[in-house]
Amino acid sequence: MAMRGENWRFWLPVFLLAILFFYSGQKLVRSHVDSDVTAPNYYFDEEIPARRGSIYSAYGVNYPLVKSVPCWEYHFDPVALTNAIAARTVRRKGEPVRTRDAVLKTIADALKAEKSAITFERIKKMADNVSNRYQFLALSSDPDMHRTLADSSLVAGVAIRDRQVRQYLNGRSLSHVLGSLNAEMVGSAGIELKYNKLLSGTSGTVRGMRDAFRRELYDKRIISIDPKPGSDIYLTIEPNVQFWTENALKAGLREYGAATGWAIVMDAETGAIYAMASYPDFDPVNYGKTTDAQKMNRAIAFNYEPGSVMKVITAAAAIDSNPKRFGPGTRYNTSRQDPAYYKLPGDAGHLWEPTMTLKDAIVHSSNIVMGKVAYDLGPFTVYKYMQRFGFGEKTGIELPGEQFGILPNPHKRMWDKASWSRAGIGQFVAVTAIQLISAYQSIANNGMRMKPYIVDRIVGPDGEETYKRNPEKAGMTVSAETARTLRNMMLDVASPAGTARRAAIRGYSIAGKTGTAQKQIPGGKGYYNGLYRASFCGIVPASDPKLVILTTLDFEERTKFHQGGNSAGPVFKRIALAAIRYLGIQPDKPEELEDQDEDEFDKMLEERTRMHAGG
Amino acid sequence: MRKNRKIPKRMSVLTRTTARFGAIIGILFVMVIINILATSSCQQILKSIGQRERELAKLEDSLNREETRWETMKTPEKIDSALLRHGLAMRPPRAEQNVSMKADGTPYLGQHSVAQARKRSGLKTAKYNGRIR
Repeated sequence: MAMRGENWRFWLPVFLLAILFFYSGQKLVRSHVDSDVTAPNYYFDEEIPARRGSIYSAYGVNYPLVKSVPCWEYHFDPVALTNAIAARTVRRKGEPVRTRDAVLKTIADALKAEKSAITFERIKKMADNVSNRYQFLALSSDPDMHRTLADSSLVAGVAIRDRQVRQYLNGRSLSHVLGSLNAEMVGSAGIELKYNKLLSGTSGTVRGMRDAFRRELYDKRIISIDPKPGSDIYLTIEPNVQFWTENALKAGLREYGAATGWAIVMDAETGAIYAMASYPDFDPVNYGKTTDAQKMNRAIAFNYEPGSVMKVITAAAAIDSNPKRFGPGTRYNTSRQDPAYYKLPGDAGHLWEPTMTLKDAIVHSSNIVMGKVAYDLGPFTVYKYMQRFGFGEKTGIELPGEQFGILPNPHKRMWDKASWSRAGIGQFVAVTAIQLISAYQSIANNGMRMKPYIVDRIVGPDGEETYKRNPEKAGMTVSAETARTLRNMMLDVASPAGTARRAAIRGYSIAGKTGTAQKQIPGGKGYYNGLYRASFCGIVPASDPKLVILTTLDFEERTKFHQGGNSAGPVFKRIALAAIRYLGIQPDKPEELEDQDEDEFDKMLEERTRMHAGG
Repeated sequence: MRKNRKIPKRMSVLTRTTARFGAIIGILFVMVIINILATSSCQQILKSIGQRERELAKLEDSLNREETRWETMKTPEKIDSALLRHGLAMRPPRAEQNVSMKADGTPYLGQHSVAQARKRSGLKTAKYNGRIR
């Protein structure tokens, strides 16, 4: 019995010994397996960058515009090369040890794949510069090049770092819309800036331990948070229409000698942007080297006096506000010396009949008649309708840097007599191109102005749609009847009788208006003599509007092409021909196409092919 | 008379203690060995998972690179320059070569006008010679 009472004296030390044995035994073995595992410097914290979201065109996931692509950054260390050559380690099995020159030649040959400027001679010089142990070689995603440069039996002294680069698949195309990233991979312009947070995603974190060879001990992970990739953004941009818009604009700038230019193609019913181009453009990969003039997206961020394209707005205000008094047939005296009106800029080079209808004033772009109409409307009516058409306020397009335009308020500051009559012919007020096309869109859409938009939808990393843009109404500008009347009035502008006969397209009716705006001297010191900004804004087809297209060429030298119909009109036509073809827009005057085997777009393509083959 | 019962021979305390201790040590030893083997096997699995994760990441990267390479080749600019380089005047179909219908089978507005024009010109069947008449 005495023994039974003393059992604890036996079991207690056995139990303690067992714990000690178990613990120390495990420790002993583990410490042998993972030597130095407890050393604090083997703890690590690593941030795992999230994949930046892609930007897609209207064609969807198969046609990306911008993507993040994994690539390798190569640096050259001449000291490491010297050491490897001295240690005779650069050799393939069964082959002799490679010489320094052979290694350098292999590196130079591999770099040729990336069209690198680093030649054999250049890399030899780099190898002599032992004071710099981190010399940049290339940034490439070419797997063949990586295979060569990562092969330690072929080359030495090349340090490789994994990187993600932003690839703009269309190069400079659409640069103002897409924008760019800075060196810290933060958006610095365009969609990249506007949606930087959504595109960036959230970085992940790993906290754990490494062994003596810097390999992670997976069972020692303390924290592991996966990165959350950025969302993908789908734009309304039609890549082919965008390509032809840029192509036509570039050709126009070259052909007519304009310094800058911009063009927008918009859906007439929804306000969706199919194409937006602005020149000069920039290379998104080298945004740091871009000048301010290149950075400006003139389609949304440039205020300018639009000139005669505003006459349509004046006519809209007149017909809509007082349909009994104003109509396409309303006649006005064409005399400039009319004591009842403020003296307006003349209609240079024209000898009009003593009177002219409102429709003819649009077709022939009469400053005198439209100035008189605006004068009769008065400042408050002109201002009210300009506001309705969206001038003086941002359209809200999803791009950074949009300007308000300049529309002085007559309720706050009295307009003088010159002001509102000049506003009627596109002077005194400043607009942005996106405001102007939006105003024309409302005429195309029977008076309903839609908010312009360029982002169609946003899709989260899990594939779920987080945002879908539906067309939004901005408000009625004029009645549907007035809009139809205006379109009819504009029909003859792109006809032999009008100011833009070179904008006419066989098979399609075009309702448009030219603009030849004098350029202002900065500081309100009047206008430059002989310097103009030529515009054309058109609706295609006029009977059942599908597209609104605006083109503007800005001249910095005197030229015979300064009139809207002579330069912006043909650019409009080239853009419209391509857009009609790619968007499948049916002709509304098919009888004009009956005897033609080819339409003008086909001819344009053939001409290009022929010219290219010949040149 | 008392039965002559056999009294069991008792083990000495020392022997008994040593035997028990030995048994416990043996069990513990086996447990430690099992633990070490299990840990090592876990580590092997984790290492292999890590390797596969890295391989997967590499494959995903290479797929991404390859996809991007193809996508870069089919941009409108690249296609246009390739066509020009080879002197090919390829063109997209014209609007009247596309048949667009509503869900109820009626043609869109533009299709009406094409049909009307065809009717006017006396052609009742579509004749393909580059465009529908």
